[in-house]
Amino acid sequence: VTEPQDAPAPPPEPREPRRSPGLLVLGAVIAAVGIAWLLAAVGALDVPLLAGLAIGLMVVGLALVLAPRGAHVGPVIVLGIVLALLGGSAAAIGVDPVSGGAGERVHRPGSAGELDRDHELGLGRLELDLTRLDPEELGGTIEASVGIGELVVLLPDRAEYEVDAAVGIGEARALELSDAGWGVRLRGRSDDEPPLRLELEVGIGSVRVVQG
Amino acid sequence: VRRPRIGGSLVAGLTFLAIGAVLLLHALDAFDLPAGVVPAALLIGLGLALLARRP
Repeated sequence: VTEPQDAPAPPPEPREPRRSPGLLVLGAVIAAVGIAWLLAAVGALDVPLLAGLAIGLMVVGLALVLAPRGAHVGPVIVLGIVLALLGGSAAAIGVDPVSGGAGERVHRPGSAGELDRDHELGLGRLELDLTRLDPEELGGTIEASVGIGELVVLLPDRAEYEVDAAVGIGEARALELSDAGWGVRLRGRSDDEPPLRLELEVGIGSVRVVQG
Repeated sequence: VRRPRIGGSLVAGLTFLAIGAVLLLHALDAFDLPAGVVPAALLIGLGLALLARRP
């Protein structure tokens, strides 16, 4: 009588491949950015770009703090560096290029009653053509900002005004003054107490005030 | 005696958390943030993270 041979050991069960926590965080942050962008595009969410970047960066930081020892976190650190640099740049230029829309926009009021005093464009060219207004009617404060692009204000020849223009990166020209570079700030006035004040801001690009 | 090491990813994570919090407060107009603070803080944090890496 022969003893039965030992049955061969069953093959080990295939291990389910482990997902890298780095890629999980990367995917979650990318999906969250997409959802937030979608909601902002349909008008259901109003989150400034900088706040969104800051929250994304904090999520990345939290994931790194909670990551298990030895985890593959390279992609998460790269994502954090990119978010931090984007956030730092957005904070430095001071204007949100996402909100405000994009394209070319011209505001050309025919009378003082049609004049809008607050303008915002995310990306593109914004022109405020005030040449059809009587200089005597021009007064008060007009604010305009462009995230990335060009901001042009056309004034009647005899208009007296003061300007406070800020450009993150680019150039500003007004009242025969001009400046260019990083963190440009241009202030000036055409008279001692001009009735009109222009507060102009561009993140990256140029701002010009032209008379005549 | 081996120095206890806290881990580079922990330091990098704390750096990102701190920069994110500062950016969020700036976005909420809590204070002005001079240009250059964020890249400088990023360099300091990532440098410390490299120093803190486990062998």
